[in-house]
Amino acid sequence: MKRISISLILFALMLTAAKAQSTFSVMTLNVDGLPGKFLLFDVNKDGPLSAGSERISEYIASKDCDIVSMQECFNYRWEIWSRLFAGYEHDEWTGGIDSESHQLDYFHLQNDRFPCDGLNNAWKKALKSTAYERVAHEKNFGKFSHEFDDIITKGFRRHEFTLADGTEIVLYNTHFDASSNRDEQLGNDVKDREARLSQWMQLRDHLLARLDSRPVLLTGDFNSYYTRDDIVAAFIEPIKATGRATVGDVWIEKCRKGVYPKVGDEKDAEELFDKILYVNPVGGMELKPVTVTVDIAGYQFEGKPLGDHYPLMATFSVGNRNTTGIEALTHATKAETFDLQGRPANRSSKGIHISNGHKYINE
Amino acid sequence: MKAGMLAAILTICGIVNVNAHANDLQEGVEIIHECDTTWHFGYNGINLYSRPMHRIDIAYPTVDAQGNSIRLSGSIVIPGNVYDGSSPVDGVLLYNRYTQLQPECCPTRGFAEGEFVFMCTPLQPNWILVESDFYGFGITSDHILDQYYVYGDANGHASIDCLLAARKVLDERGISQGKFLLNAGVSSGGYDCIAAQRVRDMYYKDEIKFDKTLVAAAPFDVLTAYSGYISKKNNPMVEVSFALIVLNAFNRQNNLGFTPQQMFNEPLASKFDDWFNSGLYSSSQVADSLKELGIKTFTDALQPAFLDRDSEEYGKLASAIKARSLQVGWTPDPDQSYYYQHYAHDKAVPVESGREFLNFLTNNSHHKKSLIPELTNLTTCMYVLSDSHTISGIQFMLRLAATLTAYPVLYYDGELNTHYYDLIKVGTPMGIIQLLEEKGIDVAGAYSSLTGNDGGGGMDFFSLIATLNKYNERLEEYGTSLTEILLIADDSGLSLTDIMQIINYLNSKAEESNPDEAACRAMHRQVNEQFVGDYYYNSMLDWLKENNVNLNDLRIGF
Repeated sequence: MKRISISLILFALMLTAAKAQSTFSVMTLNVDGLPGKFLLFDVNKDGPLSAGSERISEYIASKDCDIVSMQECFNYRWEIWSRLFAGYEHDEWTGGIDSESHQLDYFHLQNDRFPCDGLNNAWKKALKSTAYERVAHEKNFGKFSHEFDDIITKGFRRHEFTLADGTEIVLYNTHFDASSNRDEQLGNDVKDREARLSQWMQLRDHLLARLDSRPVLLTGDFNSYYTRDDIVAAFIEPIKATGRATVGDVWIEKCRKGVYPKVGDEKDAEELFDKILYVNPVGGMELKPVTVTVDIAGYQFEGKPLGDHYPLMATFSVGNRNTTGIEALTHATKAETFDLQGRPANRSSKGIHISNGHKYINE
Repeated sequence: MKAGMLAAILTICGIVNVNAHANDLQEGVEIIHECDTTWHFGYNGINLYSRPMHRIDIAYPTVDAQGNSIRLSGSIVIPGNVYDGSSPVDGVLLYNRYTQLQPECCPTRGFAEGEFVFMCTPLQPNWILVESDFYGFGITSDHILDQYYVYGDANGHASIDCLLAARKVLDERGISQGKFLLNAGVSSGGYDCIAAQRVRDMYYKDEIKFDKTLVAAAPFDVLTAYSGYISKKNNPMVEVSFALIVLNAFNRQNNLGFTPQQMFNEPLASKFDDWFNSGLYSSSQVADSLKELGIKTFTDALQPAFLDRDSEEYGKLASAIKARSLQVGWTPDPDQSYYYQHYAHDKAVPVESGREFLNFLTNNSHHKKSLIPELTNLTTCMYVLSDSHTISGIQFMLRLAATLTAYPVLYYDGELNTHYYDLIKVGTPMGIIQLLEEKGIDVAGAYSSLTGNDGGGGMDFFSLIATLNKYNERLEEYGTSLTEILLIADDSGLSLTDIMQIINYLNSKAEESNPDEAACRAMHRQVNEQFVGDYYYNSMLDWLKENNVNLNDLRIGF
């Protein structure tokens, strides 16, 4: 009893200290929103479609994250937004893959390109997006094959957010060039890799050109593995080399103790295409990842995944360089936290635990 | 006859010294005329489609058949929407025009009788055309009597040098040439197209890489073609004018010394120079006049000596033709890809001369015949039922339009579309059938109704095979035979095993059902449209049908 009382006092003290810090949570999720059919072709017949997209919306709302970065938000945006209207603002929807909203030139399909990027961001109404920019990738590969990346206007979106307590952060949301399993197996994905590296570099240059004292989050479906695309050489090291900022990947930090897989090594089975990276400007505000969650077990309906990607969530503290992160935890619940294998996190161990920003005692 | 136009002709036998060709083509390219113009697809006096074009006429250095430096003219024709920058360009088409007898019938005089068929339709291919006038036309029209007609690779040099000159002009103007380069021609233009490919393979492998060479109804082996005429000398179902132009051209170019009276029967002999050498009449007018004169067979037109393989006259002619054969000294580059089409009963250019081309490629290079589009480096398409050389040409041009439209889609990512490749890699006929059936297409249903023509004047191989057993009695009605079918199958890269496998399979399926004909025709079309180019081809046929165009009535003189 005495031990518990001491813990509660300590916890109360921490919460008091937390008021001087800011915390927030972010989710990135490819919502698998391609239509089942386009013209005569089965595009995504096994995808979530309309009903599944509503379930995804329910899922997103239930996670109560402050910011949600979505990719492939194409034809079912109303369904995706349906459970979010009450609590969230969102940025522009740029269209779906359909022949009604975009008139196709069937005789010059090579010149056709859907204007949509499939990206969408939602953020709680307590936050504010004070500046927004949409940028197309300079290089894509694959218009009628190689995963059709070039048939839409893929790129990235940049938001400047003011959190509820007035803290400012910058957030990118993006969807990089994909390559098919077939092409990867045949070694026919060289141009896809080149396109992705180009996109990493474009994103890097865009970020550096606008870097100030605000920390930056990069979220999205990067279609990249560290073992396949040299993300460290193309993105992380060049930013560090400027001496202006440090870079981290929440998954690397929390699950690989900060050690990046090497290009050419066997892929880490737990690595996802979906990533959350953060860039802390030297002398500026600092983001510190507190938790990272890949919710495999929770992102299901009747035993099947809701979509073809799993949600990646992280909580961050933001403050000066001395911030530990622990004192900044505020919300989320025990039951919603899972490890990278989809197992409920810390279920069996005893003691004080912190999960998704919530501290609790397991006896 | 314009007596003043007769020029001295040197007799040059043997292979031209090709080193003489290596003149500096970067020098001496000159723009001689430039204009905005409009091309029209007209039919029976009604304009069906118009398209603004920008034409740049150039003069450029090249060589004649003897390797002497000369200057020729040619055109670069850019679709207006490409020239004004509103549409990106897909590529350059090196187009080799077909037979003309009048000096004004050439690109720099604005003559585009065939070009409108593949450029001025709703498909609107965004390709730049490059076309040589060829010797005897344009700035060399004073020498029209001396035009090189299926004469070695003379027009091949003219065509390739025109392409190089056009590249220079386009580069200097900052006009993009797109991603692709095709080479095409039909009839004598098909011959010149092959000649251009030969020149490219022999002298410009590094500078020029054609993505595809598309040829139809070409007298590739001129002697085989002429021999075909002899075999059919009493057959009234022929068009004699091509043979007469060949004989006339080789007589002139090789100074064989035959007079019209020695070569032709009266009354043609008296009229020949006026009709063929005056430059006053088109090839269509000449062909019509021959019919009006009652000349229906080669026996009607030619002196017996020119229809006798043992005669001295035939020997002289044959030697001259052999000396200029495209086959001499050419090893085709296996990395170059071909599409070849010929009507099996072509009345003007016997199919045997085209078949020689297929055999030449397969025997002298690593070209493998297939009727599956894009499956190999030699796609073939052999039709029967229609014997019209003109319809053959128009159908080829529609096919060319479809190819210009399909190619940027099929090869957009710098390789054959991987999804399309997955479809055709099972490119045995049975493999295709099974794949289509897996996709829910009733191939057997389609098979049982394949008895009509396809709207383009011919019946394709699949259609014909389908009729073999169930409609066997119709083969005779169609003027063909099982032997010919098997020959065409060979042209298409099909083995007898393939054929028997298909027939047995389809017969067993056909017995199970008797689908309604209209549905089967729709299925037939669905089968064809698995090939991307056929989607566009059928779109063209639909458009023509909507405008009540009968291809047989399109007046184009090949």
